Amino acid sequence: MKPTQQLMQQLHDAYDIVVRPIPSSGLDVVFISTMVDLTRVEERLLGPLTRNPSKRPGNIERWLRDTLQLGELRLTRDAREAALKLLDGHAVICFPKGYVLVNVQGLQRRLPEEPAAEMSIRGPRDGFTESLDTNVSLIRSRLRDRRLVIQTFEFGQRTRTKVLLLYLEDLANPNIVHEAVQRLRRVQVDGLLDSGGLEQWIEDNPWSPYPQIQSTERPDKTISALLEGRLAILVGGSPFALLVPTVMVSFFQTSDDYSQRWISGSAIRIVRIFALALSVFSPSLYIAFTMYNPELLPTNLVIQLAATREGIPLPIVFEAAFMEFMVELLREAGNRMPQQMGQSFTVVGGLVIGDIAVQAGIVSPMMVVVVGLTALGAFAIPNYEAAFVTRMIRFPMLMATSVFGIMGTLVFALLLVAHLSTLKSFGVPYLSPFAQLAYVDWLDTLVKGPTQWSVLRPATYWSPRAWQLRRRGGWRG
Amino acid sequence: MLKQRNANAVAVLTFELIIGSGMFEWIPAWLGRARTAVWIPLMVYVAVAVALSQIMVYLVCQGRVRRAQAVTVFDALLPQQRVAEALNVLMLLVFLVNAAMVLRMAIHLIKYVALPDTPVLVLVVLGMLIPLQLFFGGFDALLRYELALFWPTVIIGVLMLLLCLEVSDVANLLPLWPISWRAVACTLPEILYLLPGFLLAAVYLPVFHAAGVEAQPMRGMVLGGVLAAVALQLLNVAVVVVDFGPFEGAALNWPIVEAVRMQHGGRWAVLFLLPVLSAVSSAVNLYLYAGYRIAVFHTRARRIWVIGPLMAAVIALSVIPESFEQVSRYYAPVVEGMGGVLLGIVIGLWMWTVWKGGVHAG
Repeated sequence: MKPTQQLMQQLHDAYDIVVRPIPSSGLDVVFISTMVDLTRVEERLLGPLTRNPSKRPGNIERWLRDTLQLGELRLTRDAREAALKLLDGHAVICFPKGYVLVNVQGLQRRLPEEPAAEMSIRGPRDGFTESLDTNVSLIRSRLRDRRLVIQTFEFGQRTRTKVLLLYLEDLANPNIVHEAVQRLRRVQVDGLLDSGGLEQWIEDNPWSPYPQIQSTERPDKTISALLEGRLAILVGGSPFALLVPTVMVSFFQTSDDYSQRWISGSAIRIVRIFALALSVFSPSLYIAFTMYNPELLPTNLVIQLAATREGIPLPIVFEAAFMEFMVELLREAGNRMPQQMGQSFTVVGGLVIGDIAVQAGIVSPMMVVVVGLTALGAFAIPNYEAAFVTRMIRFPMLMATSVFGIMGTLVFALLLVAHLSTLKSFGVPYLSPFAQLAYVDWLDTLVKGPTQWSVLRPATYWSPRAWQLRRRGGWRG
Repeated sequence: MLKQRNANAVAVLTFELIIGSGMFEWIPAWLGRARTAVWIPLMVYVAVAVALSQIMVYLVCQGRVRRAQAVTVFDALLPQQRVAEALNVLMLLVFLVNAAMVLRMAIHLIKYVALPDTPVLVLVVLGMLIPLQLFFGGFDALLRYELALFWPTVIIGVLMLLLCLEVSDVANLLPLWPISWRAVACTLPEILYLLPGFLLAAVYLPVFHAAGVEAQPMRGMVLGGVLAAVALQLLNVAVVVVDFGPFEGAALNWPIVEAVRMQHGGRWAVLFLLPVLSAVSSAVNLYLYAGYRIAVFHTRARRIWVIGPLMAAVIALSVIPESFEQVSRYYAPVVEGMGGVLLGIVIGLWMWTVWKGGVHAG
């Protein structure tokens, strides 16, 4: 059987497979028209071959190199390998003894844009795209270090998704690198379509609601993580990089914190921490204060609250649960709608439903204020996954408070700390640096210290080799 | 990455071992006897605490040199394994009874401040959910819990105590000199009530030494932890005395909570439960986990077969007494008696080791 037939046998006869025989040379050029750059195929491949038809080659590879002036040529005799390369966007030149593979990949690529979910005021405006090459170039253009290691993996028996593991050789902890490689090697999936799927394969505790791997669309954030000694995982077809190991405080840091003066950065971080507290605790504390411990509030306020609840038929717990559920419903509906419509729907829906619910006497105006504050608090958390968990945690906490009052809130909070204490991300405690008492790292947690004071790399991730290189900007080059 | 079992963690853990439940329920008894001269037994306690802590560090370092695979200083140092096992079992009993006592007292406080009608069993089970969750994460998870809560708890607690000084009268501290030395001497046995935490050091410090914390930093950090805990205890006693005076202070069940309650129209008493609850959960976790380590070491049983009975025992011991008074009447003497015997043996072991010349442990 001829090589071209063998190759065609590997691929089912799809509409976009093109076979172009080269007259009087006995060669066939095969490519998938939807995967290649057609201009490149015409100008660099078919053009030169058809212009030199009579030179029947002895050493096919050398002849093709001379004729095509292309560096990326590879010879194989395996029809299966040739077929797989064809699916990667290569053109295959079939000759009687085998195949020559030429990279003429030409997928449509989106240009880097500012990530919608991670806006920055003063930081860079570009974000990752679905193309691995673009993403790597975004990183390499800013991180010109020969010690940047990029390991390649391929996942998905059918999708054959390319995954890259990036780290700085001298800064990353070898134990964490080893662990990451081991976990990546254990992944066995039929198809891998985005980084979220991979994240669930390699995270430490799948039973925890808390994200144990940070995802970001920002190249600057990724590079910052690499410089801290962390690892980045890029997945083909996904605009999100996965950063490991991840500690809880990293979900509350943004690139703007580092672009601004340290006082402003610290103030914003404190606002975010308050937002977190507001989001988690405000409905529960409202219930606790009104149902169980009104003595904790000033008397005038208690009277005012009681007045606003006059005539409300629902118990306060149901009132809170109902409103929280409504907010989540609006948010989810807003997410699924077209962008322009979704935003106005969420705002108008929130206002209208809140107002009507108050007018109908189902909920009190104070509850609308509390729920609004809760939602605002959750939206101030920079990471989507962390914000989502925060919102979800409110419901069990609401239940605990409704049964045990403020004691329920406190015990539930302690249970949460206990749960977070059990979590690790690639061997690094999730509550680091607080849980390790790594005091030197505390300057970049709830507040951000002056840049001059933050010259040391975080002890949280350090490796024995990085110990000598701890001073940022002061290591040997 | 930074090791979880580091020297800083030793200091915090020592603080938590000594501070115990953080409810300072012993203050009325001390004030009842020594009145304003309460500082004298407190100073004796400070001396005992410092001495015991340093003895413990010495024994831990000796034990590590002699026998690496040991769970407490007893089976590391005693030549007779049967004796060591018996002492460990005794220690396990002290830990369980103390965990139950701390838990029951905390529940009494919670019922007093916030939830008068909730059944004790419900609150006990609720409280035990925290150690249950941590046990499955192992010692490091437990340690992370303790360390993560340490600074917030201390800061909130100390701030609230300092705010209590708003209505203080320093004249309540006088007279400093005791009117009756006999009364002061009668207070000294009460020190035993504060010492079971040092037995925990016999279980936990070897873990840190095995993880590479050297003798010298450990000595310094343990001393730091002891002094910090003692300073907090002194602050608490001082707050009670300057706010209430020795007589009223001795008549109250929870003088610290009452001191907090006096400020701002009683609003903060419930908030003071936050540091108290954190300290209580830490104490229960530490006692229970120490018992668990001993039980697992000697039985070699699977985790679940040890955790279950231990938790059931603590729950049962917490629920059985009908009242807070019964807890004090029955459990406190057991803890003080058995704890005293064990600490006496620790001191004897130290003297014996020193007499034998010891082993240079760095």
